[in-house]
Amino acid sequence: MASRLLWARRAASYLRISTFHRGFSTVIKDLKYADTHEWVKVDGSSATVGITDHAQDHLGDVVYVELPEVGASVVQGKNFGAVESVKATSDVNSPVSGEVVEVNTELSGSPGLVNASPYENGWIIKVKMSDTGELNSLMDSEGYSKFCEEEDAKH
Amino acid sequence: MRLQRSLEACKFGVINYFDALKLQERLVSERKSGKILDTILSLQHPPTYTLGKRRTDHNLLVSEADLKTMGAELHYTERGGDITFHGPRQAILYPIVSLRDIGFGARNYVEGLESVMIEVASFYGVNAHAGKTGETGVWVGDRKIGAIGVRISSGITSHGLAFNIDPDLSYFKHIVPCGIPDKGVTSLKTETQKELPPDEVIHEQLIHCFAKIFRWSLQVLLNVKDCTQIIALKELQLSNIYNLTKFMVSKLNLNNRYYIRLFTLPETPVKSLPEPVSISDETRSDLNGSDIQFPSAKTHDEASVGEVIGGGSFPAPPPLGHSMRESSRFLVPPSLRSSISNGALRLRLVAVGSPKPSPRVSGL
Repeated sequence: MASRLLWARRAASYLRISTFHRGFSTVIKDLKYADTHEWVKVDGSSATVGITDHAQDHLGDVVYVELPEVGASVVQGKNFGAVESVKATSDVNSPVSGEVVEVNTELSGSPGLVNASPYENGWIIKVKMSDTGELNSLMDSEGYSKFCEEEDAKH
Repeated sequence: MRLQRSLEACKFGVINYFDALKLQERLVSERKSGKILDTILSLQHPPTYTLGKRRTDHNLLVSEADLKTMGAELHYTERGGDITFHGPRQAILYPIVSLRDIGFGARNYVEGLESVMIEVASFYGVNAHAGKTGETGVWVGDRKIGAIGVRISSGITSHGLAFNIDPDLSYFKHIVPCGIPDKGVTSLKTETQKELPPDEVIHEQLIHCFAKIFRWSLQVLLNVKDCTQIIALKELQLSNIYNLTKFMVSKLNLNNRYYIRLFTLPETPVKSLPEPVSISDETRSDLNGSDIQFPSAKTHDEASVGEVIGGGSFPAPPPLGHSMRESSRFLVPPSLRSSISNGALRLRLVAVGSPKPSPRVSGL
């Protein structure tokens, strides 16, 4: 069901029509999540980072992504870049510390990938982690879903 | 029981863009560390063009040299949005608030800012509406009456909205406003049939709508509309001795005097100030020629929210780079200290520059 909705969103985005607002956001199992709504996908000491479906939904249509340089260092919880949507620039924080080994240059021409495919084609940076232990301080998919529910209940 | 969130409003006069930017940066940092509550600044700017993070300076249609001739400044910022113009008679609101605390994202927040301007426009019979996707802002027909540009850092907002009351719209000819060609700009004055009240009334309405839409309980902390320079806006630290931190002197041509106000911000009214807050001799000598006084206990039965418990003025310090000595102090009597450390009493210091003559703008 979730993947069908994700497909619908992607199709709508491509066709530039608006989608219905879902009551929930997609959360992918096996990823780790920061409380600032970034996800990280770990493969050994290599990590891919992006923002979650919840985040892109709350941002609105992304028109610009500020990427760090390859080789830059990132620190867990600190911002490494920004996205712009609806005339607002929002910091993006890194869920892990390490060195940036790759950035998603597609985002320069197609920033909307962050909205259409937040967990796949909309990935933002790849990091060589300096401390895999940091992953323990992140949430799993269940914890993150709950966190989002609590946040949305605040207003 | 849900605690009411407080929003503290600070109203200024016409403030230079750079000064306001520096103040916002300080306030964002203090809000992030929880030293201050959600705050909203209300002010206007002298003629200023600003660019957002994307640096779309191709939308500036004149050279920087021409801008100087016009008497306008240009600033690059980290906010979202394209190029825009700020000037006198345009109401600016800069909310410095925590979106995380209210669980809002950029989209909800910006929609709220649009609603604020739409509502205030409606008070004057003007039927404004939010822009289509990709055209954030507030429009009357296809003319823009209100612009938005926001920065969100660690969940704290800065920059905000600009609402055209009656600015000189000819300044907009020199840019492609917000990067959208073929669409005009307008103002409340142009669109309304009604007579407009003084600007401060409209600023007040914007602030109240903001508080209402986002459901904050509003407190007006500071109203110094005749000030043109913000030097310090500091919550005094909780310790026995209070440090007056460095004053930022960023303009050389300040005349007259600096004014300090010391406010109480008690959660509950403090019954009485048994002894007055005073300043140390070192401070007094630093502030040579100052007339700072604090009222004696006898004249103060109750210190209520926002009440000035002392203040005064001192002469403008020597040029750029001057700062107060680290040893400058306010001394707080022992009887107040426990109220302060248990949070019942907070003191906030504001230092503002006195009015200076407005710069002469040579012909456009």
